[in-house]
Amino acid sequence: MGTSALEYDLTIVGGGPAGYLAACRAAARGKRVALVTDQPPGGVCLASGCIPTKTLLSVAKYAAGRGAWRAMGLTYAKPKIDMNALIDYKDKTVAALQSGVATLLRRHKVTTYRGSGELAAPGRVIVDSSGAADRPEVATRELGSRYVLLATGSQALIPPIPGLPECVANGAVVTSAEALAARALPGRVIVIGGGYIGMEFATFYAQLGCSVRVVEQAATILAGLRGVPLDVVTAHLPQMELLTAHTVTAIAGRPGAANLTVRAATGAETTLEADLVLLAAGRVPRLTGVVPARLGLATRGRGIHVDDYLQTNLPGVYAAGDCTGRSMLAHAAYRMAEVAVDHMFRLDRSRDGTQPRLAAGRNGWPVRMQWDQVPWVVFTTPEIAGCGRCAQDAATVGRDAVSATVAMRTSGRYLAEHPEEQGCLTLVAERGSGTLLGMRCVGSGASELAHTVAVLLYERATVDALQSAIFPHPTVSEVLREAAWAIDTNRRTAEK
Amino acid sequence: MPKAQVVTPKAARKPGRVTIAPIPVNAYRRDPAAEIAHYGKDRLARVYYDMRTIREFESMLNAIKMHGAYAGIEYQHGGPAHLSIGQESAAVGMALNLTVDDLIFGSHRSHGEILAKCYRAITDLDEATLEATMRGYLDGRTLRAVERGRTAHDTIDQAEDFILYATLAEIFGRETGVNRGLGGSMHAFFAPFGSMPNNAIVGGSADIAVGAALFKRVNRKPGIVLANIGDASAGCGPVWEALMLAAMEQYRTLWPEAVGGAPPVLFNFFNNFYGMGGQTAGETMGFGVLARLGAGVNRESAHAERVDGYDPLAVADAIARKKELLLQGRGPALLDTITYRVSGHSPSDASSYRTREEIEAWQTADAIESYRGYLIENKVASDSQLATFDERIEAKIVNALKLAADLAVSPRPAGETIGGYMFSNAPRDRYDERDPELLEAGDANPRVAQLLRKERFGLDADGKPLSKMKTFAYRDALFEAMLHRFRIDPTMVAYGEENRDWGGAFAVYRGLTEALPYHRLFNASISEAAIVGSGVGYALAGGRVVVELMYNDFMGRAGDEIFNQMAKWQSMSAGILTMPLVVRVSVGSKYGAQHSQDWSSIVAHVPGLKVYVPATPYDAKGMLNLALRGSDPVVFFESQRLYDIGERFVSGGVPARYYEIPEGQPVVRRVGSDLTIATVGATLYRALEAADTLRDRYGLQAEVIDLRFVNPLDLEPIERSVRKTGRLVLAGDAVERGSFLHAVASNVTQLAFDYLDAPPVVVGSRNWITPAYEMEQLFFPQAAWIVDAVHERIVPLPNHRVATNQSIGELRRRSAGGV
Repeated sequence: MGTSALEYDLTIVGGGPAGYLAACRAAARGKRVALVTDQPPGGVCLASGCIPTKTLLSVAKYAAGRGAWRAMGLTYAKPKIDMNALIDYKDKTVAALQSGVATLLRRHKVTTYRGSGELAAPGRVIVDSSGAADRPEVATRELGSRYVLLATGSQALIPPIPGLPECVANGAVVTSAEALAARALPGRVIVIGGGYIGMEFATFYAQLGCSVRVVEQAATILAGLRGVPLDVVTAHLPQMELLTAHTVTAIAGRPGAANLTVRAATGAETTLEADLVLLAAGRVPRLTGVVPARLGLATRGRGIHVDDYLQTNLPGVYAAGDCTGRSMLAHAAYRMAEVAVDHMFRLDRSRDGTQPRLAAGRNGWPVRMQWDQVPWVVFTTPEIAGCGRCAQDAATVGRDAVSATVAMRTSGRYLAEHPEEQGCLTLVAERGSGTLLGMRCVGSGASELAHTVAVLLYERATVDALQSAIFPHPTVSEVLREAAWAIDTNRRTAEK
Repeated sequence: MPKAQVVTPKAARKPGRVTIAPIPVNAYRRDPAAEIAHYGKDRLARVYYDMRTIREFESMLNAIKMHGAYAGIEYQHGGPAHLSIGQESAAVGMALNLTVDDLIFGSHRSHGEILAKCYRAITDLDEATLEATMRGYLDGRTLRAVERGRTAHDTIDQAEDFILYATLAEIFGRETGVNRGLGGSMHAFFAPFGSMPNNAIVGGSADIAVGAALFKRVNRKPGIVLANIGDASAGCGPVWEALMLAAMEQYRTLWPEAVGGAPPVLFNFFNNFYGMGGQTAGETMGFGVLARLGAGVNRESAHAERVDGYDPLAVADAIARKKELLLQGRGPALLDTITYRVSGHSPSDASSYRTREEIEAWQTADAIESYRGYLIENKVASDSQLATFDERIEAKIVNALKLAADLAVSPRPAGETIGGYMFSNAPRDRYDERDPELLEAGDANPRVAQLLRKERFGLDADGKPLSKMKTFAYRDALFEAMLHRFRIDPTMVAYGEENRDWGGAFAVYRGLTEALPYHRLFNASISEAAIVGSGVGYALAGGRVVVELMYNDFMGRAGDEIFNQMAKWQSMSAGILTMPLVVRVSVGSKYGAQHSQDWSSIVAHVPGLKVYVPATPYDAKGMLNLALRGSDPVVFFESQRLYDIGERFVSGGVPARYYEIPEGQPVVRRVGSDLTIATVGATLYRALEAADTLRDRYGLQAEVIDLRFVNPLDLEPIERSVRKTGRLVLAGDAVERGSFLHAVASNVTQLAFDYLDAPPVVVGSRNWITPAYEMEQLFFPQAAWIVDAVHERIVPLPNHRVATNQSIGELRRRSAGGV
């Protein structure tokens, strides 16, 4: 098939952060782009993830902040929460952003197809629009393109717990998407899963006065976050019961009244009652119906296998975002999209007739996914953020690490504004060279420190750079600089 | 021709019953008077002398292994010593009625057989021959070492010292040993006295012996051939294959009568009842009496019988009777020569698998003591005479040990000399001077006549391929090379699967049936191991042989014969043997996973084999000519994709005259400046397609090199090309993992690192099974794969749309997944 026979340079399946950003980046290069999505563009991030949760959490934080302010002399009556108004506001925010994404795509002349996309072969995507209300006249059509990007996202994991499928079906158990639409606050909430989604919701409900229990299979909450001082986190969490090392063995009930049987590590079983059960056991790549098995798309775990340029094993087929299973974060998806698009079209920029003499084919192209530089934030109160490696993990990749942990209160601004909070920040660097390896931070303002570290890691900066840069005073970010001065990169022994 | 032998349903479906020729068990009866009359007293006493010599030799080695000393001489021997204490009578009895012309091939436990056979030869040969043999062997080095020891009182005495010393020096890995120390305990042999290679692979000697016997038969050489193999080897497939190949009816029904019938081979199972620790009769086999095997071989039950190996004269009698049958062409014969290994499998064997009582029972029945009694009782020799023997033997063994242990007398071979023995590199037009036996002369052959009408260059004036009917093809080129050598070398034979009448599965031999008598071209049983193994035996016995396995994949059935026998005997014999054996195989197509593999890399991995992979008719003829004049083992790879292709590169086409391709030399098929593509085999044509695409679409001028040889291979032409282009892709039909091309890539990287713009890229077949014909383009390297590999890993091609994923991320994924 010659290039001229192709309608598009790129067909993207999925309209989430990876899909829409890839569409815009490719279109900005003058490429003809088709985007196939069965949901409004913006993905889980906009519809039921990052954005709506932040809307809710910000209100809850204010509602719960009374105790702290009292020490500083500010008192006010217990605030009232109007759930209807809150959900309306959230919906308006989401709608505004979704329409913003649609406008962006239109402005970039991206052709959007509503419907489900299936990869028929490398370079060929079949769009099935039969389920889409706005284009009922076109049932299916086939799109031909030079490249295909799979960005089909993820969905909530439904673990194999007896009674769970029935409870999810009848609404006794909800996932984050339904929870975000609920217009009444439950009295008793049980959150299944103490990961970052579970803990954010637990924080929200607890701050609004609900009775909250978190059931987590692992020995600790947030078990996936390496190098975070969990004692500091739990010391500041709002009132809730953490049932770690507990397994849910059965669920039964109806909306508003559910019974959970949980088993402790000792083997003892307890039955818990709840008005709302939120399932936050994790997310899994959404691949059903996207790639027929006969094509032999390689997987890695539950996700699509990709290399550092986001190429799958199929020629000209890339994948980005949650569907790769590598990182289920919107900002990771953004970067994956950019790396993939760069890899697809990088060479086209030099179409001036000269023969580029690049070493080693496309092997050495510098724009590659830096999987270990994806920052992350948990929007609990206080926030938890990190980027790069913790000291314990550095050794597994052959780096001798040293670290320093400083209290957030070393920042005057932090102390001034947070009378009760005792956060901390840990900076990790390579012994000897001083190359920065990572950061962990618990405390208000942590989310806005992560990107600084991401930039430093990308630039392979050393502790020296952080020490030398001038930080504005007074800001919470000064903690980072403090940590850089506290770290002893010449320490004789590396940390284990 | 088998057409004369019609298979009818009437005969095949007729009811009846198979009768089995009776198999005698221990039938020999002692008759001292007759024995003395037959052998004479000296010869009978000599039997004792020989047995005692073996016992003392093995006891000495046992003492060295167990205690590091014998008779006050200290020595540490780290290598193996599989001793045969208890089995001496079987060995000496075996040799008693053999002459120098009779050849024995043995096992890992063959010290006794070497001594028995050589001692027998010493008393058989005249002094002048003995002296000339010793003086000439290894340029006299061994003899000079022997002369530094005790003074021999006559030539026989010295020849015995020579054999004892040279065998022991070989066991100790000394360059004065029978094989310059390169064979060692399990492989030592002394060809001038008819002691041929001993084999560390159980049963390995069976099919080799058949080949040596075939050589004797085809070339009308005197003597018979023995495969002295163990009872446990009866469980080895190649041993059964050897029996089948040796028992083919055609020797007596289809071959010219003058050739003399079946190959004179005797399968002599030294049955000591144990294969290491497994008890054959009773535990690991079902035959009860090993001789029963004969019943399955042919209507004579392979003349099988069980012989009491604890009576040397019983064995000698059996051997004499079998030899007579074999010389009449009525072979094969099978002996179940029972014996008992009193010593362990090796000195480290604690005999945990048998009782002390069992061992003691055999010690009580000791053959040497019992024979000593027989000699004295029958007044053949006196006790004091035998005691003198014992003293003399001990003195000779002490002498041999002193010399062999002494590094000044018996130095170790210098390491680098081993490389000099890997190949003999001694091209020979013919291995015998007699006229080759042919059925017709000159151009009377129908195929020769047909080829005269064909176009010897495969392209027309516009560069388009001519029709297949008109074209002199790759298969024709191979045919010409075969016929050429058949007409010059009278020893040359060819056999394998469907070779005669059918003309080979790919019609290479069509026309040879008309040219050659049956014994020079015949169909073998479907016994790949024995086909190659007998080829090994034929070659090392002194003849040229081409065996054909049809598909490459069938080499799996001949693994030991290719990897351990064909590859190793030239060097394990320190160049005493040559191996003018060509194994023809074809990389298949269309027939799926077990008929489509290219194992040139696997073969190349084993030192000692030459590996030729011609991709054009010109090379097919020139390289087969080279192989067929050579003295070394060659695995000759053809390809089903190539047989009907015409010559496209050498203008003038394939010459009718004789020519050879220079060994190890790659050839440039297309000159270019931007990229080098080097191929092995049929992938050449796809590489040229890729070169067209790179030129036409991307303006890259690719230089295409056909390696032609996998081993030996001169890297210099590739290096030279890469110095010019800075870029290298290697492609071939072997699967990517472990492909020999990776070795080339790695070596060229070493040689031309500064000139490379990118690491060399290997494009091989996928690490899969070969799928159905219609899906083969998914498996074998295609032109598009090469272009994609260039784009991904060497130089990005503007606007290139990949058809396959050749990225390094994919390389990493495939490696991690094992695919």
